[in-house]
Amino acid sequence: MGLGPMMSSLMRSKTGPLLVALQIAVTLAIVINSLYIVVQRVERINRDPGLDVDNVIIAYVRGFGENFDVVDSITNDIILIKSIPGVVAATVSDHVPLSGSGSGTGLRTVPDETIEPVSTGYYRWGEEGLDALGIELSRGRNFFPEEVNYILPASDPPTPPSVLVTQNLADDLFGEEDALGKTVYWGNMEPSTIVGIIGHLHGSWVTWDKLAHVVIQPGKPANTTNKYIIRVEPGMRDGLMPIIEQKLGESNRQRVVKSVRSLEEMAARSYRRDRGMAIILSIVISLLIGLTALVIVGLSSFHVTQRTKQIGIRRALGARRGDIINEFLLENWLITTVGAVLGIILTAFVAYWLEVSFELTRLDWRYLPAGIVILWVLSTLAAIEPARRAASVSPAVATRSG
Amino acid sequence: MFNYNLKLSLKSMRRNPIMTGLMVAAIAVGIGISMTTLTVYYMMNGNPIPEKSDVLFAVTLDNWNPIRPFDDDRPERAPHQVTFHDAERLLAIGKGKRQTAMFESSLIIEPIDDEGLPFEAGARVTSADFFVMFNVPFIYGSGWDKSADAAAEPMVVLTKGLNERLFGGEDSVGNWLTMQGTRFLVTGVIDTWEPTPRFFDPINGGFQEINEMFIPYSLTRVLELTSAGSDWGWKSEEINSFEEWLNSEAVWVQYFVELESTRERDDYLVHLDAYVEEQKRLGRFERPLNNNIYDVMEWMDYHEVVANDAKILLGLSFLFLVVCLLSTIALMLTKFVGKKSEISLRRALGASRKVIFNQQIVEVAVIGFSGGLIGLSLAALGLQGIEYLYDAPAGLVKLDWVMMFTAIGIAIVSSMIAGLYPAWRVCQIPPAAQLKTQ
Amino acid sequence: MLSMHNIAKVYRTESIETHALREFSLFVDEGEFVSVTGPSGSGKTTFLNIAGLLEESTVGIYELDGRDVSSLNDRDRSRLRNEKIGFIFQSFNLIPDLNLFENVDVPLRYRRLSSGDRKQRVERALESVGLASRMKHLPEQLSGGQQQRVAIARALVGEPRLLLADEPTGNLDSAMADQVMKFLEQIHADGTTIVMVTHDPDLANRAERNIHLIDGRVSGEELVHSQEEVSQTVGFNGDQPLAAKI
Ligand SMILES: Nc1ncnc2c1ncn2[C@@H]1O[C@H](COP(=O)(O)OP(=O)(O)OP(=O)(O)O)[C@@H](O)[C@H]1O
Ligand SMILES: [Mg+2]
Repeated sequence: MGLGPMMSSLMRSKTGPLLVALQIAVTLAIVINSLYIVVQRVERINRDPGLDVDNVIIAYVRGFGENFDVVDSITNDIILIKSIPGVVAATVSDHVPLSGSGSGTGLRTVPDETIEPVSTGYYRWGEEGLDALGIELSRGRNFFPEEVNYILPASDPPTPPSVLVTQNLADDLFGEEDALGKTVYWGNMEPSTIVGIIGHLHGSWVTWDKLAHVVIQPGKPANTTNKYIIRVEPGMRDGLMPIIEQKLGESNRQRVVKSVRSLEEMAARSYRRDRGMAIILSIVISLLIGLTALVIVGLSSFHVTQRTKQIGIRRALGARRGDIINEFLLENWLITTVGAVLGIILTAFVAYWLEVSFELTRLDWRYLPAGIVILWVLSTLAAIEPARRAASVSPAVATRSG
Repeated sequence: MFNYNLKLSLKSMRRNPIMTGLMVAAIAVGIGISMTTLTVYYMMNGNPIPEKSDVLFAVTLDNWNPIRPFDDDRPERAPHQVTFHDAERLLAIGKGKRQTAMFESSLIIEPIDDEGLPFEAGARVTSADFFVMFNVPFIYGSGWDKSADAAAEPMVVLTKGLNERLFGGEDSVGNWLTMQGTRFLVTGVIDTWEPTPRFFDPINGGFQEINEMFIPYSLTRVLELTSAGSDWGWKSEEINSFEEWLNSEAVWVQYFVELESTRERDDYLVHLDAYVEEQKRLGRFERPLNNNIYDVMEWMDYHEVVANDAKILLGLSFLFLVVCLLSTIALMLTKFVGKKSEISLRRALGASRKVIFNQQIVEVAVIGFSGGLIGLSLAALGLQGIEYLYDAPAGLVKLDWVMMFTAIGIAIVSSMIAGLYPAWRVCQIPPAAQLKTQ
Repeated sequence: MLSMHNIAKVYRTESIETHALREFSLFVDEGEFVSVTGPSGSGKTTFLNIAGLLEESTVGIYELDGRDVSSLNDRDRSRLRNEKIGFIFQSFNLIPDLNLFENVDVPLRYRRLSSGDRKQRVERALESVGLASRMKHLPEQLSGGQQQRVAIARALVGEPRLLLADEPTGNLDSAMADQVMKFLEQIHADGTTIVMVTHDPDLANRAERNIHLIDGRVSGEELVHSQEEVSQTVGFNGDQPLAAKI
């Protein structure tokens, strides 16, 4: 069975099939580009942050009143928190990774202001900081307790001799060389020695391209608002959060407990734009695919009804059921293919628009064949039932209906 | 005739419930999605203060690192905030018609009676002109006097919500609040005020709720208030006291000025340049002169308040609408072809082309209108979903009248366009066709 | 060629059973021209449908070309239909969105033929009905008689051995009907077996044998005239009384 009569039939009513082909083309362009964005966002959300997101609790407290002593308060709070059964480790920190709020600075390998520094996120926390976040140190050592001092607001603390850096930062600072034991210089050209290297860790701003650049100074920041990072035994987090909130609240009336939240929730909040976009686009993709499939089903069914007589005649003239099914599927396949070809062009345009206007990464070309295959399968699935119905038209229709 | 057409179209729609359902669904989904994204875009892209957006200006001064611009990607730009002390001095000079400096902070409010608990509330630390400049509506009282700015008097303006929480919504003007050991006099309570985007502080988020209270800028020194927003610095300065922090080169204050004419604007730029020249003589501002003012909409553009994602979604969803329209055209065309014999019979019985055309168009409009209505409810649903997904303040994005009319309009117009060609095709069917082909 | 033995066809709908054919037996020889008459609803079309493998009988044995076809599957039935049987319908049944060439081409499409071969055959068939010049026209651009001639061309293009016609002249005026009839006679003269349903006794009498149906049964058979006479008449004048030679 060639393309002959069916093609002529198609060509003669070209507007209808052309519209469907166009629809398929635009569908392809939207689906492929959206899918690409969704996959990228999901990949981003699922990146390994290098810490134990599931079992970390963050508490924010803030003192007020004239007799409030922030250093006392922090010391007592840490003791109190660690006395709660289920708590593994706790520290005070100036910022919390993944939270969206943090500090940034620039480091250099030589004390020369004219050299472009390497940007990085930076934190100050105590000797239990790594443990409190579940971060693994790949080489070197953690801070010694005696290196960790309170840092009062509006004071200029001495530059600490020891710092920890992430491998990613170390690579961008020293390239091939081993960074352990090397000296880095801060903005004020004061030196610090790298005493430990963290295999992998994400900083505060999840949209920043240097998210994996982190440097950590030893210190217990005694700011207006104190942030406690607390790691608990697996599974105990949700039970412990209200207990921590209550105990902190009762222990010192000169202070408010602003909030006690899970790091998981905070990270989810930081990623909410990516998640939102992924969800919206997934809905768009599903609706679009559903709509296009339904339209194909609807049009094919309608065609079957319209062509009942014609199908009957063909059957009377010797067409087998398989011939009729093939005719329908082939027609459908042709339209889909024309649509797919137009669709590739359109997809490229949309991808170009996204790349140029929004600096999205270039579309991975492998999405094209994938999208086309999906469309083929989809349109065939959508047309198969109507085609079956067409094949079940009795050849006697030719003689029976006027 | 219209009634007859309406009846015919309803009949025709009932005869093919699946096709009709598909058409309505296609339009509804298309309108639903595109209206959702359009509303979000419209909200983000909106003018938060249309009556004054071209007379309010954000001020930037370039006090940055002599060897490196503030933004490597946009070296022509000065830092987007100013230092505390520059803002203080510019306020004191008061060259513009009105001016205000501000930053975000937060304070602990101590309980009024013995039962309550202390709690933290967000504050915008700003100066007296803020309320007049930005047309802030008041329920009770007003903003504080300029004299309060000068004397650093502890005064506070509350939002409706905070006044509700503290004073049960009553007129609290003249009452006192204790915050961090200092007694503040309530001078006013503002009404619901939701400029969207929050144009005066896009740096710390254009779509947040506004701060819960307002206190004078001059209190910063007295109460050692720190910024809860972002601060940026480039210079290694030794800072051993709060005073030294306030006098540092770190930028964390937003500065706005109101200027009415082009002349005033030019004068103001001259004034800024003169100020910077003077500072240069003191060894500050080592970069070339680069002072700018941006009106509200320029300032929104500067901060790219409209998220890229919103633009991408808008673009993709309009392509989606195109798909929906193509579906509708294809479905209508097919359906009309199916009506060929009926139409040619009608023609044979004396219906003119025009009558037939009108009949189709009425059918199309009915489908478009139903699709538009359903689409509107879908859009309302979609907006709630977006608020939920993005954790936006409730009611931030809503379908206003403009949007509703736009939606119905787009639905009807686009389905008309979709129906025009099929209807025209139908009219071309000759009256004799019925009699000749079987 | 065609042999039916004790065929019955029952149509069942929710409420009633219609016995369209009962205890129906018939034998048609190779090369015969048989006409079928009978009142409306007597089962003529049903008989033709079963004979043409468009429908299956409820009971009974049907042999086509000596082969029992009652139990064949759709595939084989379709092939037989395509290769051995040609149809002419009362309402022409041309496919409206195909032009004449394509309409005639339809049966050939279901055979494995080269496109050159198909083209040649289609053109020949259209020529034989005198419509070769209008190959590119659509059916709606033709008169009823012309349309029926296209339908005849389509029935013949596959060179069937059995031609089934259901009131081929029912929609035509008498002059047209006569023209169509002459075609059939010509085809018959070329050796094709023809079974034709008609209401018109004059036309029925132009066949060799007439079968009369009443209530789904053969109620009478009549030998009309011998084959030689027909081939003579075609050459001369269609108006010559055909039943004269009995
Ligand atoms: N599909 C069907 N379902 C039910 N009954 C049917 C069906 N097809 C035919 N019949 C019935 O079978 C009987 C024979 O029908 P058939 O079409 O063979 O008659 P006919 O002799 O061709 O009549 P006419 O000269 O009017 O064409 C009729 O009573 C008819 O109502
Ligand atoms: Mg009949």
